[in-house]
Amino acid sequence: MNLAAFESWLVAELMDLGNGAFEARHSLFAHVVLYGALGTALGIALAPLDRRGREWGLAALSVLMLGLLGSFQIAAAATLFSLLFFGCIERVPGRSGTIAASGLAALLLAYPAFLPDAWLAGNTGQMREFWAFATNVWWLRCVAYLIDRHWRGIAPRSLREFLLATLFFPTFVNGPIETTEQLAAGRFAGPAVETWADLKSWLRAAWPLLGRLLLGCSKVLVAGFYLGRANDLIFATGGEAVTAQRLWLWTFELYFQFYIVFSGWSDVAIAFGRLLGFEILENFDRPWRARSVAEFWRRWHISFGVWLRNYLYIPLGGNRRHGSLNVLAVFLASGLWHVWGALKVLGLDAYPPSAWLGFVAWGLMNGLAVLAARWWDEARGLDSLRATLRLRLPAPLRLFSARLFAFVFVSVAWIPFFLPPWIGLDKCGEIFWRLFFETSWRVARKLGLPV
Amino acid sequence: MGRETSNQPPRLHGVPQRGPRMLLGLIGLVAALLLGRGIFGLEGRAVCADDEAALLVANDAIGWSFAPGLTASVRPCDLRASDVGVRKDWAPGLNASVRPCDRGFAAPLQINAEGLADQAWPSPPRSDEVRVLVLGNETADGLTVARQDRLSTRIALLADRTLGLRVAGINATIPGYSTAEERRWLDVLGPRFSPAIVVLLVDAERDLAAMLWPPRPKAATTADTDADDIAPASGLLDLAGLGGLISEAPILDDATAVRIERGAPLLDPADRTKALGLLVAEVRQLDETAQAQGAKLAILIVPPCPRQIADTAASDESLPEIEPGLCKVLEAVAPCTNLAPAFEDLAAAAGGDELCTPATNRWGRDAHFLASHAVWDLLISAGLWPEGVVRGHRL
Repeated sequence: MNLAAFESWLVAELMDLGNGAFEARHSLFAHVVLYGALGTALGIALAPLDRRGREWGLAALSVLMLGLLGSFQIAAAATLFSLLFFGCIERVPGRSGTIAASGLAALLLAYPAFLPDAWLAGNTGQMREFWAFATNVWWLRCVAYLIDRHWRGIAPRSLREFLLATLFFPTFVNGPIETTEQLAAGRFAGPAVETWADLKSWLRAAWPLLGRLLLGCSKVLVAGFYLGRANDLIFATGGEAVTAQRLWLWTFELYFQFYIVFSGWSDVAIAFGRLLGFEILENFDRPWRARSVAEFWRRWHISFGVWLRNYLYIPLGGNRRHGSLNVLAVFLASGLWHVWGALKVLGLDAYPPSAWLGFVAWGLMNGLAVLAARWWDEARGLDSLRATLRLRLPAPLRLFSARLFAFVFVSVAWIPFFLPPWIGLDKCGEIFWRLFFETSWRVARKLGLPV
Repeated sequence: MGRETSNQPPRLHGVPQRGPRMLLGLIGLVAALLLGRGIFGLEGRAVCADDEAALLVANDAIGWSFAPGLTASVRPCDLRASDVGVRKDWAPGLNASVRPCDRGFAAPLQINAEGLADQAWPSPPRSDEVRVLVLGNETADGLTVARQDRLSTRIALLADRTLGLRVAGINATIPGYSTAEERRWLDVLGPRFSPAIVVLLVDAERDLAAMLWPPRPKAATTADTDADDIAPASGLLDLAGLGGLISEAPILDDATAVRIERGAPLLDPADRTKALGLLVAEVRQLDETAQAQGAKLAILIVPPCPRQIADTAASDESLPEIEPGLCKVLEAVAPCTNLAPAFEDLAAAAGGDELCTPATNRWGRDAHFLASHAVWDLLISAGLWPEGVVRGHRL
């Protein structure tokens, strides 16, 4: 490529990027960032109030943000639902309260069936996505409070704390999924500065948070422009349209695309939350350093993992009773939670039960991998093999191999997760076949092995 | 998974004062005002979808276009559901009341420097880019749907850029245009975009009427516009409206704003036959203009919105049916396909709720979707795509 051609290519790419960024201002993410920034600034303006006043103000701001991002009806319905739910738990005594609150939670699960379309009219073209993501997070928070109060014996929280935690606008759309207890435990003085030195200190702490906000925005935008361009082609052709090397690269690209976009969303939420005086839970902890699939799930979407552990895995019996079944149940529930989200975006016509299999397969693959890792760690019959490997292989090599295996497995398991609803699960099977067997066969042929 | 504490400001000792909190509160308030203003700048004023005076400006060279550089949020016109004279005019014999807008929408609109509802397009195109120019009227301009759902964008998205050339779809649809204005636009501004393919959307009833009663721009003033009457489509606080109030931005430029006066529908069979002859001649000239620019022409007969217009015209036995046979006539000039059967199939199978945006005369998402596939199928079957364009695997 000569200099003139390169210059022309670069100008065109920059123009594309500029146009893309300009268009992206209408995306759900851009709206969440813009209105989130507005809400955060208004939240900081509440600094002169005492803590109760600030938190009531933030709860009111959260309702306002729901109205701006969604619609008046949605904001009103969400507030009314939260009030009713809290009332059932805290004001209706005994079993009746539990039954009523559980009924409301079930109603929230079924709401897409009866939500009027007009309620989803909003100032973003992706209103259904917004409300689907938000209700997924909201439902988990409500159910967590119900379980905390009625089964875990945790002390009641005030209506102010409950409303703020369930509707908290920085994390409402895409998490991190903080429960009422977690949000309350994470609050600090924030903008409630009491001395000039406090103010200076707050301003100093704000700069890195603004940096994190910018980083989050850049991650989402850049990943949107440059990653995942071959997804449709590869899914539709079962990987046939590309070479084996490209197919492997694409598998890792899926992993990074998801990580970059999702961690970008979390960066933005965490930055807004901390500016308002709440230590929001980190959602990612360098997942590529995981040495097993089980460890990966302690480093990826941490807030959801913690929720599943506290409110599903442990109540089911944890490791003590039916441990393996519980692991599978947790991953299956995770898959179905994603199905519920997609169903709200696409509707039953465009997302029939046959299309749900992608998320279900993804959940089962991960669940089985976690069980396999447990078996490898705990099976007595493998003691000698494990000891031999420990002796023969140097520690760095073992660590590298474990990380590589976890990384490759998780990358491959993302394939059914991202399967478009209009493409059958059989295409995933074809992609797996091409990834593993065709590649191995070619390598073996190159090595001159009799295949 | 522990909580990070590095960002927590250390609590310093000292005498608590009100000053720092007040100052921080003030900083927050100022930041909120600036952000509110910025968001308004990005979202623009709320504009009613059918409020032409707020959208269109006069243009000496091409008659009229969208107001260049306009940023707005297009909202439903349900407040004016009783005042949809244009649509009633266009439904001969239609007595049924126009369906009120039962489903809101709020679509962002950005007009580029050339007065098109589209992004900025560099001139000349990239070496690996095939440009498809879509000419038409408000039916398919996509103002009431998200940009990614518009016909021109969907045509581009259906190409596989990883295996073949990139396809750029340019949205040159302008409210009130008929075939004559589209030809003039292509003649004057077409070379700037270097199209390889021109897709002409023919709105049969309107384009026929325009042959005898050409649409004319009429100067409009702020008093004519409905922009200030639009209730927030959603949200507790309509930032677009509030921002407009704060900035006191003018709703429209009284010197250039226009409304389009359209002729009445043709009800006389002799008029319709005469208009058909003129329409074919106009399309032929448009084809010659396209060819002079190195572009190939394809024609799509588009069903109008609301759908009662087509239904009513078709049910009036005194009128010669134009739409079904129009494609056959125009095929003598360029490859043509009629989208009406696809509309009917979808309406029969799934109700067709999203074919038209309620209470407007614009297509909804499903219509743009069907049209994009129809255009691709037509261009493939007629062999109009340049070598190197590959159809992608997406819906």
